[in-house]
Amino acid sequence: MPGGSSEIATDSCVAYESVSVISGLPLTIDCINGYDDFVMVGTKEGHLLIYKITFTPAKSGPEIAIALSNKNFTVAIGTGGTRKPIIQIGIIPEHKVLIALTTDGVSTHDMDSHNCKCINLIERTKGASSFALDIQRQTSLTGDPCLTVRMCVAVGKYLQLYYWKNRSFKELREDLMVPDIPKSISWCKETICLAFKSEYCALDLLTGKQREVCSRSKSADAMIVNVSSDTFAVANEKQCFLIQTECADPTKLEDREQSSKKSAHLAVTWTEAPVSLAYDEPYFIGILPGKGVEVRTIRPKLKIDSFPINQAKLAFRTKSGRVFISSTNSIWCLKSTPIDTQMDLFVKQKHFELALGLSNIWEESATLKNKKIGQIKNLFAFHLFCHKKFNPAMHYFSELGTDASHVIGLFPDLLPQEYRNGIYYPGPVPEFRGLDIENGLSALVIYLTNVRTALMGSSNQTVTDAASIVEGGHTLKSKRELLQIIDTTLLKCYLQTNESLVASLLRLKDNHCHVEETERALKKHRKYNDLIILYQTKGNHRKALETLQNQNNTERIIQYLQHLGREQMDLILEFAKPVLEEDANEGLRIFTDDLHEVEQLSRPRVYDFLLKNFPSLVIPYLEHVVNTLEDTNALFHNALIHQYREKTVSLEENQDTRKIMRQKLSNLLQKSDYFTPEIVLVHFPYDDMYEERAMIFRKLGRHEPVLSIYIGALRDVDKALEYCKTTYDKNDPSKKDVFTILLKMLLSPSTTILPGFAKESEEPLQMDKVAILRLLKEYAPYLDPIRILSVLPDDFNMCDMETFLKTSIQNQLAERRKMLIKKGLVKAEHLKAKHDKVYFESEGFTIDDYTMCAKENCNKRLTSQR
Amino acid sequence: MATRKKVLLKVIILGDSGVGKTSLMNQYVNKKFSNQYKATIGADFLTKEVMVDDRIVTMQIWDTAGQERFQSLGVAFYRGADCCVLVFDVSAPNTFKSLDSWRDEFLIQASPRDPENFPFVLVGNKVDLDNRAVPQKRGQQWAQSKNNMPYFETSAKEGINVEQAFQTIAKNALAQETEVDIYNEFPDHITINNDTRNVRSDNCSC
Repeated sequence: MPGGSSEIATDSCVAYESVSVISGLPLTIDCINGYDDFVMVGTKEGHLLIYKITFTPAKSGPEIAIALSNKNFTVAIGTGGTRKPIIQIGIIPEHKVLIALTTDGVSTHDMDSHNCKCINLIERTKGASSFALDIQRQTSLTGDPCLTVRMCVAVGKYLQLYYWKNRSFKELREDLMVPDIPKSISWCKETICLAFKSEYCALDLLTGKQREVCSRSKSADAMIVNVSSDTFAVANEKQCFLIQTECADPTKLEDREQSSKKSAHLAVTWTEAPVSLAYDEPYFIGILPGKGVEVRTIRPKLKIDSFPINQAKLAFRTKSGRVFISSTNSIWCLKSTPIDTQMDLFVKQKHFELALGLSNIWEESATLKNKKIGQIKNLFAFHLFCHKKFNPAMHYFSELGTDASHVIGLFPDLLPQEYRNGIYYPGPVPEFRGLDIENGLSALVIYLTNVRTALMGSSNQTVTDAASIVEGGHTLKSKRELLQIIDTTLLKCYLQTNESLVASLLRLKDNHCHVEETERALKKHRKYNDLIILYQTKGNHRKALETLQNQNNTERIIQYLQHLGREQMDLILEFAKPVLEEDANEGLRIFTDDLHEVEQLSRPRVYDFLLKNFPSLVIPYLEHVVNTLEDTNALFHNALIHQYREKTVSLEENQDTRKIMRQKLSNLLQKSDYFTPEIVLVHFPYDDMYEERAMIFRKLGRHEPVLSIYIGALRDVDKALEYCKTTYDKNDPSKKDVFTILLKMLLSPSTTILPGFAKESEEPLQMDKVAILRLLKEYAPYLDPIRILSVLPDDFNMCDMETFLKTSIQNQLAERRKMLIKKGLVKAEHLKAKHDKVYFESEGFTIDDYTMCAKENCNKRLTSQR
Repeated sequence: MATRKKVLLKVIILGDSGVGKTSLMNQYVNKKFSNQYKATIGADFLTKEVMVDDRIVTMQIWDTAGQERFQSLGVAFYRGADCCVLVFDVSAPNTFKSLDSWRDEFLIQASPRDPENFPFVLVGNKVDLDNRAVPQKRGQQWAQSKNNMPYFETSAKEGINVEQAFQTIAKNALAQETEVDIYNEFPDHITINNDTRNVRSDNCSC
């Protein structure tokens, strides 16, 4: 607000209209008080007047009725029987009790009685200067209204404290001494505020501590007015200060003192020092001597009204919106104008806080009231926004649940123009620049994040309670659309204020960013990395990959493909192709890096793909699958063996490679348990790679081909013996004959060696007598003598076979003995069983329905087994 | 900037439900562990005083609900955090997978001034279990890819590495806090006075 316009249209009545109620009273008004429609007037002459003043909408003026007029009111007080001035009047409306202060002291009066009869005079209060009432209205647990009335009377330098019980005041506690005679007192919760000569003091009844709250000029009148249940206002010359009495937690004394110290702040500055004050929320009414009446507000500090009632002396509020002003012989009433008219006026003048404050005292149905408050707040928020107060503005929008799209529309270039054109604002939206727009966007980000969290948390699919800034404007109903606008805007804000959050937003699983709009924004800011995240989260992998291709970012393509997972196999292979063409070894990482998604890829498809397109990568890939991943699928083992074999025999490869491949092949053949020997074998040449074939036959458990290779093709008896030794197993029928087979093969190579295993080019194999003898000698226990003897040629020397025969006979004898023993044992066992049988058969027993089967794990009733 | 005022560090622990956020906090602050699982509702905090570089700082550790239905934390909760601890369970690969979204969620809600350098600490909890499913290497790789955030493998049950992890958290949070202080000590606007009265004829202001 510019400083000059702190006055509101002084010529017309804004908050109140003044009505003359009584004029030219032939008495001197000394004090005035009242409640509801009643006004009590005490005069210097000791005359008490009670008026009932009502306003009816039908009539323009007030209806005035004299409820009581008692000129002898003070005569009944005390013993003197004389009239004396009424210094102060207090009222307990609920009890219909009037309290008067005269020179005799404080007296109580029954307002229901004729002439307001005196109930009691508190003798101790004689000479009192003033008193203060504290009336607390509470609802008891049973729901009844409950009234606590306390009174503080200042007599000299003593404060006397009373409470109301059984229609009289009882002493509450011992008197409190104060340093000076109080000029004015007021009671506010547990604090009594006192006005002394040069300062205002607050006296805490709980602690008994006194402290100065505000200094006071001696020249002006002392005035204390209660503003709310814990706040009062004091006047010092032209100024009026607000004083808070209590802190949030009354047990913390330290805080309490601190907060009270801080709380004295300037509320109102009058044109002149007032002589009387009244507070009628949210207005302060001050009587300025000779000038009339002024009406002012605290927040903001404004002069609202002024009435030229020059003779005015006293002001008193009887109820909300009703203030009475008196001069020595006349009374006026300040009657509040309709609250909604006041609110409208303040809104028009952009005093939104004032308008909102008025809603507290507006007596209207809750729905209508809330609607009005909502409208005002929306306008207020807009006003704040226009004045660069972004955070408070957003706070209001957030509280109001204003349609987020309308808030977003306040900023330039965030909404699609077409959509933006459909939103109306209470006034022209200022265009901010530079730091302002940055601050604004920061506030918007916080606001949007809040709205977003709230929206995501609600289960509704539609938004029903969103309000528009201008009444009746179109609002978004679909939650999805709203989220889309919010997220897209957040992204745009980030692009302008905090770029590194863009990626985080796009990665959120539940982001609702509008794809095309976001795409445009990101492209505009050249945020290609983020663009790819957008495509990725929206599942548009092809577009993401194409963008990467355009950027020639091979590394990112590889990473992207690595994270796609097996569902996107086709896409992976499609985009892997150009990468592999460019750099085969780097590209292979798409299928081999140690990542969860990569491990899950369909290996047969990758193998197939590589085989068709990149044969050179087949071996590295298969090696990775077989050796690193330890895949047990026969397909890969067979394929790898196949690949190694091809390389080994290929004439295109150089000698070293072939040698390495052959080594790898033989390693794999020995190590792997997962290849399919039958399938693998087919591809091996008949006239080469004997060793490898031997290994395969070995896996197959076929001794004849293995031995045929060793004896026939390789002519290596040691290897054959080695094989026999590792394979022989006495207890396995398929393996116990290996030595016999070998011996037969050595005896007559031409008939026993399988065709095709001897190298045809070489001379035919002859019987190797040395080897045969060695075999007979060293491996006699492993040979079957009967079968051997039948095939041994006749020209063998007996002496050569000595060891063999001896061992064989010994073996046979040992075997026989063993058998005899075994036979004896079995026979004994048989006899024992027979004996047991006879024994058991000699005993009788019954099987009934409950007999259980004795067989292990059966435990069923025998009868049930049928 | 030798102000030795009392420092309060706000640390927020995030991660999937059941990874051991509450247990980590309890182990660190109270040296206690319970095998019983009790879902955290909303958020809860404990404080602990720690020495960091000869300074006593108060760490306010906020434990949050991992279960979505108990998450009701808004922007206000995340704002002003000095460090964010991301926790996963080394025996549950899914909890490792969600780390990215927890981090993003935090960044969006807190929108720190400098998201790239905001201190995060990664904690792989439950290393005492036999059925480990996320290899240490994967955890390290992830931490490294996110601006090299510190990575700790802990067991809230056995108290392994918990102290060390939180010491680092406190240290990094303090560094962040100090940085923010520097920001705050700058006035909002630096107004260069355009007063030309003092400009001498030689155009030198010295």
